[in-house]
Amino acid sequence: MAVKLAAAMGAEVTVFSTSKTKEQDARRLGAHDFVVSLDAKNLDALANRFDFILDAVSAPHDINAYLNLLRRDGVLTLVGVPAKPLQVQAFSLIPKRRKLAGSMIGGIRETQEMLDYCAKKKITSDVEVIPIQQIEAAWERTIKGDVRYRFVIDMKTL
Amino acid sequence: MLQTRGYATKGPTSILEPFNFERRDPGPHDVLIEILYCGICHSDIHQARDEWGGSIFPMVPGHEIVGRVKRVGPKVKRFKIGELAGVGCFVDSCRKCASCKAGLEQYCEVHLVLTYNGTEKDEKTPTYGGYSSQIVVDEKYTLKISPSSG
Repeated sequence: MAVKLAAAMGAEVTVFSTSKTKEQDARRLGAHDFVVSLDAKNLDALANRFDFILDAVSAPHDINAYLNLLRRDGVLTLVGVPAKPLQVQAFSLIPKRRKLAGSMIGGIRETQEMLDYCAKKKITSDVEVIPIQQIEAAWERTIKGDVRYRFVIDMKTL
Repeated sequence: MLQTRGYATKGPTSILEPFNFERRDPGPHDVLIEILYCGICHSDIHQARDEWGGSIFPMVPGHEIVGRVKRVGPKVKRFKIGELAGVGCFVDSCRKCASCKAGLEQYCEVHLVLTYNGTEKDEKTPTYGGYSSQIVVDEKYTLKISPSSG
């Protein structure tokens, strides 16, 4: 949804992923560029380039490698929750006056604005609808990341 | 009270099973929503398995709710019976702190009433989420869903 929304709002969107397999999906969702993040060379080439990075990764990762991709006054906002603390190099922030931030859901006003925007621009979620009896299997697949992109329970099956 | 059907887990190592419970009768500002669909969030699983600590059981997860308004309280202005409505991660907040006043209820500094795995403003009554047949929410915390979103 982040890719769809950012693209709809006119941003030039790059998706970083550990796996090349998501490239086709990323481009279908509206991404203009796709970078396999496991190769450090791919990241180095993009230093000082981005205004904003949304970090949704909940696995361990080197945050500095991404902070270095921000231009002056750029912001990296965390929405994923890695289990262990992230190690931040002060020099990833200081020389370009970058900011490392966090954010959690939206308020009612913001959420309504988002829903209205999606209705106006015809932005919808990619979902896999399941009967509630399959909830345990759906949870196991959610843990494995095996869903494109959201499970939704059809409540008339309750 | 409104008899409600749902799926709940009894503890961090239990599975989700059918569960019957009661919701409050809609108050003057409440809407009663018949739930049509509820999304699955990875945080449902973290909380059901108590991976963040402090989970409340039995737990009816679900905070990505869309449904149809079945009943409205006499003071409700923004919703009519039959309209689509949505409910997200929270269903109330203190309404008085600086964050609430700024329209940033998600950062309520007093008591954010989570849609599930939380307590109502009395700080006792557990809240139950969207893996269920219906939900009662103050209209201020209910979202309008355009019919064209479907």
